[in-house]
Amino acid sequence: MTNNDKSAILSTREIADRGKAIYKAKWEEKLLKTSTGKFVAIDVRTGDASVADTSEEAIRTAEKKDPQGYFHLIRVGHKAAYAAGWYMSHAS
Amino acid sequence: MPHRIGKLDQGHPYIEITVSLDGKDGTGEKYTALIDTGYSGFVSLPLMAALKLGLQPHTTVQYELANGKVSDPVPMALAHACCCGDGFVSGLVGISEAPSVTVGMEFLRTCGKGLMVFSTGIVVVDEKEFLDSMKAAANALKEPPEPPGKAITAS
Repeated sequence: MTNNDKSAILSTREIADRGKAIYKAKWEEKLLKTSTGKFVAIDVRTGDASVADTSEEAIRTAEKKDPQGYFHLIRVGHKAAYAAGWYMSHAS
Repeated sequence: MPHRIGKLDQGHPYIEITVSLDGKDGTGEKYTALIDTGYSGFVSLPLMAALKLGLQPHTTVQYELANGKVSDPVPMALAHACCCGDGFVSGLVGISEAPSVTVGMEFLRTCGKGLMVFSTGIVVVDEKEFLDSMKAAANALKEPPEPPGKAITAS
């Protein structure tokens, strides 16, 4: 997908896989040194990363940079962006 | 002190919330939401509820499950939510296959709420007012009592 390809619709799985691949290749090493515990929104169209203290702030910043973007949210240094809790763990 | 009374159902705490696409007064849908204190996110809605509201997901996220494994990716959208009767706050709403509407610690934090659990029900309080009143009560206990024998004279 290129920056001009605004009509392409990606599946949830594709967005997440692309986001994780971009994060690993481009951002993880750098952000682990500077931003552990912060949230990072990876724009899977542009490869850009928006880092913030909260998940909402990271997504709003990313959305301002690229209103057409699709994003994958990661928490730096954590297995996943959120903990699920008992109920959601057993419902999913 | 402003508070909301919730209920316990099979040991799980529930509270009435409203979720809205744009956060304008009088908009949104009301739900009875499970408060999952192990969930670090804002709000999670079942797929059909999210579709009815018109949420437009553009973000994906994964959860660390209670067994340490990582979930499949879940779509998320920006929306607004509140305890019924309060003003809306914004946050990221997850769209899941779970059958219940769920609120997490991010919801309580953003709304400025504290959760008190009793044997027969729950109370959701405004955190700042609750802590201020606790501090005031603690300070009142520290003040020395009136000396004994101090006479009050009537004029």
